[in-house]
Amino acid sequence: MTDGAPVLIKVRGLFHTYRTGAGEPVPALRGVDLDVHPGECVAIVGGNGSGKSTLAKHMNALLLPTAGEVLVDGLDTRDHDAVWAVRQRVGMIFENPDDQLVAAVVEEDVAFGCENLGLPPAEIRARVDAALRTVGLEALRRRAPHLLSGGQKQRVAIAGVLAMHPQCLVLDEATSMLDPSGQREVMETVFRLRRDEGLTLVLITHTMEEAALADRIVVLAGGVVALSGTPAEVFARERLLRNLRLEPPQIAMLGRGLIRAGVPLPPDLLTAEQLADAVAALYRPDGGTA
Amino acid sequence: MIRCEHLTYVYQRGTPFAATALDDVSLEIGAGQVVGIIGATGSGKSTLVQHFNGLLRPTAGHVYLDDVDIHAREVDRRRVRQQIGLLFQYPEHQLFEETVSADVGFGPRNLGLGTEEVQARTRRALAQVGLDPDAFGPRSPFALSNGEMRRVAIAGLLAMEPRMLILDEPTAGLDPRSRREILDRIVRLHDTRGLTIVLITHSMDAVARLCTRLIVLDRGRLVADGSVREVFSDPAWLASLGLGIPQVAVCARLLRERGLPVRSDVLTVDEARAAILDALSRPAGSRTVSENSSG
Repeated sequence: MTDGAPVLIKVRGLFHTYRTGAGEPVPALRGVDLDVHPGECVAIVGGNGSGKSTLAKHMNALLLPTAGEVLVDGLDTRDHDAVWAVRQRVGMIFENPDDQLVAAVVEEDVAFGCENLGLPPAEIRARVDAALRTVGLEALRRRAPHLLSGGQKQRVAIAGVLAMHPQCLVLDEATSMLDPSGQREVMETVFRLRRDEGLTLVLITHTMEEAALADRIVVLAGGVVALSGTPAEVFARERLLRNLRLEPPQIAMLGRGLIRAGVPLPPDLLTAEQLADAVAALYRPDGGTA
Repeated sequence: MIRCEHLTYVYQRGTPFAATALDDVSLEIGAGQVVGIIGATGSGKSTLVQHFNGLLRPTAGHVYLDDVDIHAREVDRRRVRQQIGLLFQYPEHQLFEETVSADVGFGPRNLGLGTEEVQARTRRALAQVGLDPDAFGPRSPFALSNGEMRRVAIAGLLAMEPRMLILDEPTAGLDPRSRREILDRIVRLHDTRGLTIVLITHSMDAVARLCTRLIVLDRGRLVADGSVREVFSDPAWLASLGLGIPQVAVCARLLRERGLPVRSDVLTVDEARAAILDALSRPAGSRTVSENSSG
């Protein structure tokens, strides 16, 4: 992409190799290059075992490169002294909301990360208040987290990360265990943060409808970047996607089916609204299609 | 085949933490049906199906299998569990044997079946989930992909030769290909073996594709039980329950709002395409249009 644009997360020649219990090497990433720019939303998709979650964990130094490097805001994740600065800049939200909540009361949970940063109590108080307001959970601040819905739990986890004033949020399958309203809740929250606060988003997802909301999709396969581009560019490669264990969103398949049947639609329709608008524009009640 | 009458279940009854998970639920599931159960997190879906095979005992009410109360004294609950196979969420966490064959054969061995019968059932069950018994049988379950592990867990249930298969979020966390493979296998088990299927899922697309009937739970109560099209006909009400409708149905509704005479009860990509082509091809098809042109 644009060489001169600032880069928040720079991944260069990244290799990661796990070891099995028997000491056998299992390569998970085999040379990944990727730039994430401030304020953009990048979706990382790929089949099970493609290396998505491994890549995500490199973005805040939960894993360190076997070879290659990851720079976050210029900080090398391999630098021991930079680890907390990296984690303050890039917050992670994981799949299972129950695994991420540690305290008995919502606001204590949100304060947890700040306390680890060693901030003064008044500053923590102010940040927790602001974060709870941002995710719309002020009214539930004294609740026990285990009594919340799945979507609310994920918003508590997001608030805990926000209180650390990060530049980037990495969501690793953060909606996959939620019901439809919980999924909407989390997606609306993070996209609002991006719009209002310029937060950078990295979405690791199996849900192509979520990936379609990103500026750019990176497809991993076998630990390398197999394809990347705008959602319209990526979802146009239906056959390749299917070979990579993926498929376009239903709306993209519906649009393609209509084009094949002779309806003159643009090829880049990804959401129900876009498709409905494009089809409605062709409709002439008095004379068939335009 | 399964009938619940006034089923109520209270967790931690008699403690300050008592919570009603199911509240007076009555329903019947006939042999050969494919039923989806949907509801927000905490609506009682998993609690309900754990009553179908006797894992949970009702606080009040009854569960009948073929008209016999499964908690009657003379009923052998192991036989109930053999007939009603229940796949838990993330079943791959429950694989534990050294080989895939041993894992799939675990249940039949416990039934006291002979080695030959166990082997025959294991091979059949693996084939039914699309895993070659010769290639996969000797492997360690832990060397498989998530989707393959999930299929091994389903094979373990099939080896018990159940009449009903209950699947609790069988595709959670899987990539689109693995999701499709598992759902296609489930359809085939129903079509070829007449297996009764109960599917719990948050995926409205999956229930639209697979199920003929939908049961909707809300905070422990059964609030709808009807055909998939009937239940999906009220998106605003579903949204108030934390649910949704398939994306193609959303699109069809948006088109109607924009004045196109599109059927709004479409459930799949193919149905939606046919409905839109139909609407575009008959400009005078809708009544309002013909009134306008004659006026």
